[in-house]
Amino acid sequence: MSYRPGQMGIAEGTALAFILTFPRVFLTTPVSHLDNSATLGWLSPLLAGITALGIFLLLHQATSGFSGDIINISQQLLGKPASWLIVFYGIFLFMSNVVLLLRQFAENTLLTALPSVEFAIVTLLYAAIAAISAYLGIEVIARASYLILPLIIVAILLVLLLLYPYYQFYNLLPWQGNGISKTISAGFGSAGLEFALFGLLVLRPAFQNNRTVRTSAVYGLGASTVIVSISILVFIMVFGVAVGREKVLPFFEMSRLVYLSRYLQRIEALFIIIWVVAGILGISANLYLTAYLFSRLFKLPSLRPIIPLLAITAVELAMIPSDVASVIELDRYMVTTYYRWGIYIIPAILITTAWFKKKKKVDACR
Amino acid sequence: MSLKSKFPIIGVMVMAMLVSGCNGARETDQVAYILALGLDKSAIEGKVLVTYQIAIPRSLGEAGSKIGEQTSVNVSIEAANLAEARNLLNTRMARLPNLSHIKAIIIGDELAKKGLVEVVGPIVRFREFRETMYILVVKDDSAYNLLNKLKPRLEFLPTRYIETMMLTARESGYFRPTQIHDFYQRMKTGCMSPYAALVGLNSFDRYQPSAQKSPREKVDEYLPGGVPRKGVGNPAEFLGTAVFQGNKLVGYLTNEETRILSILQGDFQNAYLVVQDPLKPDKAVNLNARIGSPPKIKARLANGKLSFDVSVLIEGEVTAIPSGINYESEQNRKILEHAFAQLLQDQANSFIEKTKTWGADVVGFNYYARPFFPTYDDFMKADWRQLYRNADYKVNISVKIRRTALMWRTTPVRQLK
Repeated sequence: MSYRPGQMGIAEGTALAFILTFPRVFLTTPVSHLDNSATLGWLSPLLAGITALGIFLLLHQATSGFSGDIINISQQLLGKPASWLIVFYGIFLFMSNVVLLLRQFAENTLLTALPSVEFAIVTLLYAAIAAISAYLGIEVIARASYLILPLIIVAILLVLLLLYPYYQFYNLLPWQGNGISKTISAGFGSAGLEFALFGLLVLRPAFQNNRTVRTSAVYGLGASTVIVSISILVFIMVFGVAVGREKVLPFFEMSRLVYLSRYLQRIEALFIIIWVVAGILGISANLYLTAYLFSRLFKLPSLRPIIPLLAITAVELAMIPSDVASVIELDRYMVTTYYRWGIYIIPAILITTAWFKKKKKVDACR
Repeated sequence: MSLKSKFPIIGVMVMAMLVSGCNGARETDQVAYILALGLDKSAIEGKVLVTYQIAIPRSLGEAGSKIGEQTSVNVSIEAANLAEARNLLNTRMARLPNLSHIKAIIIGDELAKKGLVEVVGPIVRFREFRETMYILVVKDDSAYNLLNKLKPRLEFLPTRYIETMMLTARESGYFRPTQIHDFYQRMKTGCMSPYAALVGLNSFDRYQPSAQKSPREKVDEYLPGGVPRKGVGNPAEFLGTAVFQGNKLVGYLTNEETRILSILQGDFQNAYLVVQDPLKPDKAVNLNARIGSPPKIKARLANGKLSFDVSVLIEGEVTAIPSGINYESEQNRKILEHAFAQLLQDQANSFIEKTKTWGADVVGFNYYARPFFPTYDDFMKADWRQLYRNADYKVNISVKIRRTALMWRTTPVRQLK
């Protein structure tokens, strides 16, 4: 099949894992961590990341003896009907992620940089660029992400450092936030934010070997989680919880606040480019994963023809919510329901079944 | 290369052309850059008087930049709110107003007393405003008057003058540069008092010290407008601090009290302190002082009552000893250090007493009490106004004279018979 992937290494895998899990830091997601955990909001993404990575590694370990991608594995473990359900669920997750990211990044472009441009044009352009990237293949997306990765990390860390004059460490107190138990529960609850990491298992044959997948996930999600956590930490120090909770775009607000002198200020325009690139690559990767699952489900000879269809569908769906506040609410809802179930329930079923199968094999050998 | 494989490349090129266009862009000669915004209570009920200071770019260019040439124009509109004022501004001005270059928001005294909740909210929300804008309050006058009378000589633009004043504020500690970011954060948390730099207009015919001198004080304390000045020139004076409770102005801090605020916040960079000569009270001694180490504030909570121990080290360099007494000697130096420390401590104590009457935690003592609250909700539920009023404060300011400038042994001037 023409969509059969190539041989991606740790560098591409790390970048892919990063770009699948990171773009939401540029959206309203950090604010939901503040809502859930107040001054301890920086801990929530760490817990979410550790949980997601733990589940990923368990699933990876449990299925390491099986060949093929996650669809082949679920077929071997659960049979065809159940594997179809899993693929359907995967399509739903990745496609909804495309729609939510598309809408939010388009809205934010209007909000921050191009207020007089027609919203539909921005959405269409985003979708078209994402479709072209997906058309070029996952390796292209991964390598483009790898190229932009250092720039994203340096840019973010630079903004966080330049905000030093605004740091108020006491804004991190009371250190328990909304309570330790609430924070832990919120951390586990928001693990759904990292569901896209499982895209690496979907694309497992695209990697050189199992170790590449595992290492990529650890590095990619690790870097993403740590940077998100540091960003939220700085956000709390700079804005405090009361004001921070009101913001739509925490990262944009932080970059707008940089004011070191009369000559070093108004630098946010540089960072808008960074987050737009990161957002588009994230949308592209999710779009590719949706197309990949579709083509595997319907045994299509190539995934390329369905990419434009999926992109147009995503644009149509992205335009359904009437206002941005509803999209933010919907995003939160998806993360705390479907994405959360996706990250806990499906891996739990696969891990348990794989464990029983392996045990059965061992018992039979005795 | 087949047409099929060229498709993505062509697609990328087309996209690059489309997205790099200047959608919504405007030429600079279509835009009016507003540099400062003045807000006053209107004489008409339910309206605010909005004064825009707009740059005249032509006169700022190389060809037009002549001393004395008008570089900005003020436009005042009475409107229901900022958005309506902007609409109305657009009806009389051909260029589109752009607010993204505003350096300062200046609030008239009356409006500040009435409350700023309806003013600051939109400023923080609207994209064109930046939280790095400075906020100033005009004492006993209007922003309209200030913007119309502000005539700096050294700067082409009045707003450049304001910005430069704010950037150099730490040289005297007599006023605190306050950005909207800090003001709004304090206003929203509710446990700290927002404050803003205080500005006023001097009529050149007044000498009006604003407070009684403490025993060791040799200089007068002032609020804007009270400094004795002669001649003509820019009537603006930046002195002191406007203190808010919630979103309403409750009082003023003098220049010296503002300096104490800087010291207690650990943001005291540099200033000249003047104290009565401890051995010759009719003379004064000057010290170029700065903060030696950040203030150490320890909070305690016992029986629902807070107490704060504050210790600050100020260090400095003696710059003038008119009495001719050898304060460089170890014994005399200690006497002088004690005199400076006592002066600052007295000022700090009276500063705290004054802010206690308003229930206004201007310094931000509540930060240090936060560890006593297990959760954020508990902290937010506390009645900070009452806690601040009832708290005990023990301030210990020590002064260390590190240097004695270019002299190490002062000798008195010989009196010839």
